[in-house]
Amino acid sequence: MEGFVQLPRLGWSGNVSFIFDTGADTSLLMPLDAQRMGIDYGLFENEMSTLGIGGASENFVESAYLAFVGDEALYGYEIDLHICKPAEELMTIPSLLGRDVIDQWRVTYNKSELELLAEVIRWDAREPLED
Amino acid sequence: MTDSKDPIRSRFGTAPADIARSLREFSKSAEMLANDRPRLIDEHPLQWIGVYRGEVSAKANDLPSLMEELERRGIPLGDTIVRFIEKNQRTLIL
Repeated sequence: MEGFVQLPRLGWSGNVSFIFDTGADTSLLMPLDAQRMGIDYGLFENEMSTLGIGGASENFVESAYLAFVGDEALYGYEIDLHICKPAEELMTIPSLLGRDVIDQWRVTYNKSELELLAEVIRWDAREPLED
Repeated sequence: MTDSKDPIRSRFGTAPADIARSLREFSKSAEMLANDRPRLIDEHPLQWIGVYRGEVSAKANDLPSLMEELERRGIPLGDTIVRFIEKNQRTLIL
């Protein structure tokens, strides 16, 4: 699932290809995407400890806007995005789209058809698209 | 929920149509990565690749070199998917 991510306080933005992760309470930007966009980790102010399969990890937390494009509109969400601290063993793992966003959608997954459909139920901002 | 005149532009500072266009192109790159994995493993085993507009635009043996190559070619990093192509895809449990 691809989304446009913006960290307004830091003026950073870019597109991110997320793994759709219904097991994640929150969305998580992994170091590969953060490094790709040249994020300066020294600018983050808030940290939070989270728990996953691999154990506890320390992440930064930053207010973020996310946007996803549908057939007829662009949908925006304001979330507290977790940003994983860089570590060599994590560099190949894609970013995660968690339930802070997924809970706003009705989702159908059909692996045999390579199909993941998300019907938007709620949004923080919506812009109709003309094309 | 809000659906006012131009909420996306006011939040993102970018025209919604531009974000949508950029996301749709970016999704083509993601589709290519998902659909062409066997070919990518054949052509770029154990390499880092940058995929832009649905095509492999740069490759390198390490991530810093790939980033340098993408920048040298003027390819926008914010619109590029970067992945390491493993011969045997690792099992992820996240």
